[in-house]
Amino acid sequence: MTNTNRGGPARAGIWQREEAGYTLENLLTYNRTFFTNHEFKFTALQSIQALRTEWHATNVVNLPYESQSFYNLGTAEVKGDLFSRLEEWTLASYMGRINYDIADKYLFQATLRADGSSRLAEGNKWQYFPGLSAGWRVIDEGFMSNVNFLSELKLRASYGAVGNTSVDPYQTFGRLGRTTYAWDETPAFGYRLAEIPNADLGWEVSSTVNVGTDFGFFGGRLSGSFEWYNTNTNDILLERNLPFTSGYTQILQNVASTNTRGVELGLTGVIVDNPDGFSWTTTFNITGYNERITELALTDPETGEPLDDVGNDWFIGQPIKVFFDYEKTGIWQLGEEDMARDMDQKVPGEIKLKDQDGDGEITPADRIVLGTDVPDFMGGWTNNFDYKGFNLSFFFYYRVGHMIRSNFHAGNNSLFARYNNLDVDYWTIDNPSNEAPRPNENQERPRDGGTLTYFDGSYVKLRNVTLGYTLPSSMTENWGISRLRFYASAQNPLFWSRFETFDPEVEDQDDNENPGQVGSGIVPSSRLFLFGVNVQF
Amino acid sequence: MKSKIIVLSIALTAFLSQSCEDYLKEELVSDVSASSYFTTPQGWEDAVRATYAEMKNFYGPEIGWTMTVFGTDVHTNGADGSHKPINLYNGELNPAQGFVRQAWTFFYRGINQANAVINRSTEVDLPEDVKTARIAEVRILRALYYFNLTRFYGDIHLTLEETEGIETTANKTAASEIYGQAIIPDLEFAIGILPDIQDDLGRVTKPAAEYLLGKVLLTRSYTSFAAGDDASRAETLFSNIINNYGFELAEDYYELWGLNERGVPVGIATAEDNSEVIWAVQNSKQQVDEGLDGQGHRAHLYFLMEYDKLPGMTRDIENGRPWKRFRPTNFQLSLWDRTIDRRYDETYKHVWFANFEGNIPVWTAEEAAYGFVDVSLVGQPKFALGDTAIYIPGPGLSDAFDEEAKKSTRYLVVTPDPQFDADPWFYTERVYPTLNKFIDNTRPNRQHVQGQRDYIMMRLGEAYLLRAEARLAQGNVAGATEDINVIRRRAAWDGMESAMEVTAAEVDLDFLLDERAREMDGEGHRWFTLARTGTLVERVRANNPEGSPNIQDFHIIRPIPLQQIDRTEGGYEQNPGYAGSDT
Repeated sequence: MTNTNRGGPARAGIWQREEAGYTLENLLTYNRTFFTNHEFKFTALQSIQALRTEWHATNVVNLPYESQSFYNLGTAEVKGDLFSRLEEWTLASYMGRINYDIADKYLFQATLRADGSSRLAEGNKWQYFPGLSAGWRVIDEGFMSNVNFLSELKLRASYGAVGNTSVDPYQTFGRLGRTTYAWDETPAFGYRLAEIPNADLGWEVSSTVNVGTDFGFFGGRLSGSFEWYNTNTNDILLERNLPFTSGYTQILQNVASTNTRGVELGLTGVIVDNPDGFSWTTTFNITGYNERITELALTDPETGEPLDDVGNDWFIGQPIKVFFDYEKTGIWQLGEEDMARDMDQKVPGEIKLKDQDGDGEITPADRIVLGTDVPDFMGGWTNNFDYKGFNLSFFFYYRVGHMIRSNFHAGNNSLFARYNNLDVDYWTIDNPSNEAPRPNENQERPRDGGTLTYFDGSYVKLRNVTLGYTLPSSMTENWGISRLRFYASAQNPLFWSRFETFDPEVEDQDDNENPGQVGSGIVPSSRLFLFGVNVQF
Repeated sequence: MKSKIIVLSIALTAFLSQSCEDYLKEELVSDVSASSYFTTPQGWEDAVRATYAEMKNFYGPEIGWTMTVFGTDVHTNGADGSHKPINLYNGELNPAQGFVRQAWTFFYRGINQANAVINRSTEVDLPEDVKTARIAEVRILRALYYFNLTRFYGDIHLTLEETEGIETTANKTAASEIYGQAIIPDLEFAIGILPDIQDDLGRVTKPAAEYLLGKVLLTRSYTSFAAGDDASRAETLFSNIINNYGFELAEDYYELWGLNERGVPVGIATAEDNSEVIWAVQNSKQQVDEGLDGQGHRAHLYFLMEYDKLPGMTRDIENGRPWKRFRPTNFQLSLWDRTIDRRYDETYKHVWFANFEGNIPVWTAEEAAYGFVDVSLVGQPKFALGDTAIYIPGPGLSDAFDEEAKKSTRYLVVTPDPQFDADPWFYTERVYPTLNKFIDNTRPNRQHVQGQRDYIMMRLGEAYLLRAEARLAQGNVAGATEDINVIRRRAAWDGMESAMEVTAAEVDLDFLLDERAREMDGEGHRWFTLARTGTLVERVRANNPEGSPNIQDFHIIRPIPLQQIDRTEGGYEQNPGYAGSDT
């Protein structure tokens, strides 16, 4: 309780948040069969959804006795911050869907839904989301009956649109912020402009075309699926930074369009299938996608063409989340004094940056897109082995080729000699390191220290491995036990990663808006080892 | 089954009984919006108050002190803080520097708020004279924000209209136009309207507006776009303030800070009610204590040395929370002749009394062997709780304490550190003479950062010095000397008044700047003063050993914040000399 107050008097607070929500759905379905094998199904849905959130907070200072924890705040000398607030949003939807299947071979579906969101601007609250799909079970066709090596073949194609309205409510009003002032000792609270009312706030809509196939060979010994998709996301809802001269710093806006294309391949093989001996089943999947910004709210006033929005790190042709910064090439060394000074007003021991434009000076024009949070590919690999009651299974997960920014490194590598520091190979006169800059008690963090926080986020991880042995039932039945299994399993026992500090598969807990970041105060994912016995009577 | 149908029907009916439009209508409950609230008399008055509140982001917190106190000839950095580059003028004083960005942001936010008050006044049902009076107030504030912006950043964005919708462009308007189109018309308008005194203490008054205009004109008088009569108009305005409103110099200098003659706080709560104060940014005791005001007056933190780690001491409310940001340069410490001038003695802290028994040192056998103390006292505490633990004799009196005298004294005597002999400027970055002007011993606990003092932006003492400057600018050395002597006489020890007086032969701009350093020590004007008079670079080079090796001519203005440049459609021109500028 007194920690943050460093030996000062006790401070306490309660922060309470209550959420109450409901969803009401009215569903109507109608089924009918025509011509013996034409299945017709109609579904109508009407739903409403609401969430109401209330906050209450009380913060006080100078508690008479600390043992009360926060259960008698009224006794504090200084009753500081009181806070309460209400937020509500609602969503209304109508949907109609028709399914039409012919002989389970030709499958059609058409959907139209309309969603209305309270959080969006008047006139933009409602949006239609159509969807169409068709499937063809080729394997069931007569002409396939002679193709013996195929056990499954289905072709699918679909088009569908989905919407996103998950933004904070009240963005269309232009809310005011409370200000504190006083005339002498008389309170003179006021209200200042805090948000720009966004009268155009609308749905973010993603339209996806998807083509896929499910297949199986050799009586199901090898099966899998393959998908290709192309998604256009329009009117993406994001906070957009604005120049400070406007009097504001940002606005929630429909700011960009992106195009995402990807493929997914999944394969399952029953490699050895011997119920009485050794069996081995393996499943492997891999997926990759390419995301690029196609349009931005920032446009050339003359041509209307979208422009790179440097102030938001949004660049045409790049994914939404990129890491835009200077590129570190090393540390300025002894003997490079003049160059360090002339290029970047630095001295030996400080971080050396790359002069991307070659003008002999480090300027903001030398920042580049260092990487993105989009991996080259990712997926998983599962294996199951069975042999006479023994069972071994393991699952690998991998994600390769993306960049992460580690706030853990930003926070714990200040080289300031006042706080605990990561064990880094820092520069000294006797240690001409190119890894980390010199410690400096005059500097709370190294200059351009942000360049030390970007890492290749690639990893392969053994998510789960389990080894079990089931005693033969012939033996256990004598004891009145139908099944007796011993097993040992481990969650996250191993990972291989370029990011050496710890498990890189952690999104920043403090910052949902910034994917691809490892938090400053995060706890790495835990390793769990489990030994167990399963008994069934 | 039947009951389920009934529930469903109820739900359906409940939904259908209100239309979809109503169901999706958003209602602001916790908050209000500009379009609904600023149009009401109460809301519009609140918008005015908010324009005042923007001052508190700069005048009071670390940012305002940092950008005006060190990086000058009279203050350099102490041991701590993230913003030393502003003192060091090194490569970290660059377009990404945090305070450089925040100051820019706060002032433009204040300007937009002022513009909103003015633009929206037409929609408000209030008597015209009330509206005009309030508009005059916010125009003063807008002028202040523009004045600070152009003083810090030179040529800047100018707008007199509230931002409506999403604005991604910005103009770069010459400083001359900022003065000509915004600052001076705003001030002239307001002077014609504002009353001499306001019922609400803290609202801008006519003399405050005149003071600001005087300073603005004086500032412009040094520029290439000066009008010929800038200095003479400034003089007239300051004369009016000096002669006509009943302001009076505090009888004793220390009264201004609520201190006694030894620099010890005795009544800080009422210090700002002094008749010398012309205008102050208001802080309320209740608001700062309860945290309703997250800013407050924070200078009680920054000038203090690290007394709390020295023998016999621990941190307490009385002695303050020492953040050791700013320490006086040797030049500053050399300016007072303490035999005739009271100001150092009255505003610096001299003695710390032991408040922590746990680390009171004991006499050692070695010290007894030297004969500093009788052998019988070996192992005995050198002093008791409440005795002197630390003493800083300060300028002119340190020489009496040679090494032996220091060692034989029971308490710690702090003098310039011998390890700095080769460069005899300093004490250390942690232990140095401590300016006590802003100490706040009324805070609710020793860690509390929001102090209750008002930020005195304008006081009669400075008005004299500003008039002296305006007179000097017109070649009236005799008049300037008269003004300087008014201030010097007040600062004299009893009976030393005539010794403090200077003659016209001694007075020039350099002398005036030194006098300002003696009188206005730490008050948050120095960087502006040096920038205004074109003496920043030479004086930092001569007197600030940390800033001296790095400061360049271009440092007379700050860099344009990088984020402003990045976020502006088509970019925004960087100021000369800084990374990314064309020149």
